[in-house]
Amino acid sequence: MDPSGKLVIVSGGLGSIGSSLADSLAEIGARIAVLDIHEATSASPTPPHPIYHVDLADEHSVASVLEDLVRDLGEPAILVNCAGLIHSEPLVNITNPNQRHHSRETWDAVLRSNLTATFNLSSQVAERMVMKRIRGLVINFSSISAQGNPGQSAYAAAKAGVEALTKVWARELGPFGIRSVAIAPGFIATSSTEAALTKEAIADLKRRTPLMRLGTTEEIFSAVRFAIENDYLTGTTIAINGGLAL
Amino acid sequence: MKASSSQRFVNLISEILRISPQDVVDTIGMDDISTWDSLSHMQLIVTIESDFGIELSADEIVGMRTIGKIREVLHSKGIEA
Repeated sequence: MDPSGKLVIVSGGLGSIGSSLADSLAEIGARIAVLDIHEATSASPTPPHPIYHVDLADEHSVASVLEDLVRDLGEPAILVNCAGLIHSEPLVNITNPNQRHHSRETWDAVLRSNLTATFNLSSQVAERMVMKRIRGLVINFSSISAQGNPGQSAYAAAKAGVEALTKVWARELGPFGIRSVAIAPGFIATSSTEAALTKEAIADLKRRTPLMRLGTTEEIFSAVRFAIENDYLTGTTIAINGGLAL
Repeated sequence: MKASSSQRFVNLISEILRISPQDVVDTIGMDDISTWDSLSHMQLIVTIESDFGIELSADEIVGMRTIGKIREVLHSKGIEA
């Protein structure tokens, strides 16, 4: 698909990777609509694209915001599900007498932000694509953590779920010419990575990565662009992780 | 000899819904055949479009819930089914 002139919805479009993708897609001619639960801040300034605030885990809010978005900008041809919440917590933590096992509350929050949000938005956008006969594309953001990153039960399960949804949707929607592709980044050099990990942890990750460095947002964009432009690609996960295996 | 469009239609329905060609009658609908679910309906739509070289509207797709309704839509597009 040629993205030029196409409307692309980028969920989580105020985040480190989402905002970079939105800008890069706009540079190659796509029209962008950003969805995000957060307000713009100094760390994630207001983008030069229309922005809609929504809790993607709430299906009624998603329906309402999609109605507004389509009225304002038209029908989307590409959906990039980039919204999510990274959370690390061991299954059992014997050093914490108050909470010795993984909190159910955080489990629910992580599943809602990463898996339910992707399901809610994709199901409603896909419905529009099918009914309007748009041969569109859904790009889901998974993560290297889907391989089974220790200390990330909820996040790993959510991202593995996202990869499974990608395969299911490719099979269900393929006859309509709608494709579904997942991108699974490894550790990417962003402000959120720096905020989430210590310098020592980042140095350790670089040592363990065959390419000896973190990835860049440009390299993630390159995978997204490939997914958009290759019309025979569907039902698969593109791993962009420098060769790192967990 | 090339099959007529009505024969092709019956064969197509029979194959996708896994029913006998004799059961492809106008009164049969989604509620009557267990194999005619939303997924096979989508497959049916795409195959009809591809085989007969037409594009169906959203309203037509939603309304094609019986063999008779499908035939009606095809007839409206000049296809004998």
